[in-house]
Formats: sequence, structure tokens, C-alpha cells
Amino acid sequence: MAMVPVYVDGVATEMDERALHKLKGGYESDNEIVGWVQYHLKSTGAMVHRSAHVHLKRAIFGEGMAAEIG
Amino acid sequence: MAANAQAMCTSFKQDLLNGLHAFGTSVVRGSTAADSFKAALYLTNQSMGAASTAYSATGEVSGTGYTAGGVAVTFGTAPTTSGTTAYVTPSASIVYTGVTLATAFDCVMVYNNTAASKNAVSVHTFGAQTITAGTLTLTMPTNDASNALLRLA
Repeated sequence: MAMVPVYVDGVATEMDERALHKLKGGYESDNEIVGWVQYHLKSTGAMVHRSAHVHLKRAIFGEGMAAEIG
Repeated sequence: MAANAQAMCTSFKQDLLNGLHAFGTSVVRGSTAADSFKAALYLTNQSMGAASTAYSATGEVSGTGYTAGGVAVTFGTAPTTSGTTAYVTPSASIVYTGVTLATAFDCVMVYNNTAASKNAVSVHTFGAQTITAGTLTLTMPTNDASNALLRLA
């Protein structure tokens, strides 16, 4: 029995994963690779858990320039 | 012997990452130890970017499990060089565990937490996210001259 941390009606608690709908998704762009997982109540469909994993791909790039003389 | 060529010295770029040079008024450092850095998350449309100069709580996310100022960033590997590029990357993912951040956010600022003014280092954007009773993990790129998070070339 896997327990999932959830936020229901303003209260943080845990629920059995079997009582929830699990959705997974993600995308990739030039900047990042994102994956996410959501859990929804089977009874109402309300989302009660969402985690995300963001893999940063694009670095911050500073280009140094030498000054010309003359 | 080869012909002379104008260039910004690669060692200088690495020295910049190590805080060795000060062309303007600098600060008195407390020690030679590496500074500590933190990562704070910001809501969408907060004008964060190149003009950001320091950490500010304005526009920062808030929610259960998130502490203003964000989390520590681990630079376990010192800045290094390859070819003419100096670079450094956090040596571990930046992780916000057990948080609920209901309002969309789309960037993280890395800043110097040792500096009195919490000077900004960089801002990194990504697709807008929310987190509910979950974990946000920011995984770093490969620490090399082509992919490192911070590069001076």
C-alpha cells in the first residue's frame, strides 16, 4: 500500500494511492525537460497532489570580449 | 612561438567565478571560504531577469512548506575551465520537498546568501508550474564547458 502526500480541504495528509487517480505527463523544450505527476480524488476529481521535475538544459552564457586598442 | 593575440584570459574568467578581481569598490571578505548560495522561486510575470540585482521577497512564491529565501544550493565542485570557457554548476539538484505552491511560478533565482545584500547570480526560467503537497526538483545540466549552469566564454 503506497501512501501519497495530499492536500485536501486545506489539510495536508496522506491517502492510499489506490483511492486516487494518477496522471503523469511532461514535455521537452529547448530550455528544459519537465515531468509531472498528479493525483486526483476518484470521488470528485479534485487534484490533491502535484509534483514536478524540471531538468534545466540551457546554461546561462556570458561572453567575454577583449577590448581593441587603437 | 605563435603570434600574439588579444584575448580575455581564461584564467581571469575562472578567477571571476572565484571572486579574485575587483575593478570597483569591493567588499571585505570574512574568509577565503566559498560563499553559500540559495535558490528562491518567483511567481510568473515578476520582471525577473538580467536586471535583477539581489534576492527580494517581492514576487517570491509562498505556500505551505516553503520558507522565504528558498533552499540552499550546493556547489560541491569548484569553478574550472575547458578551452577558453570557465564554468561552474551546482553539484546537486535543487529540491523543494513537501510544498504546496498554488500560484503559478516559472523561475528560480540563484543568489549569494553570504553577501550582506544577497546579490543575485542568475535567473533561470522554465514552464509555469504549481505544486500541491509535492516536491519540485530542479535538475542541473551537465557541468562542462558546453552545458554548465554558469559559463563565461
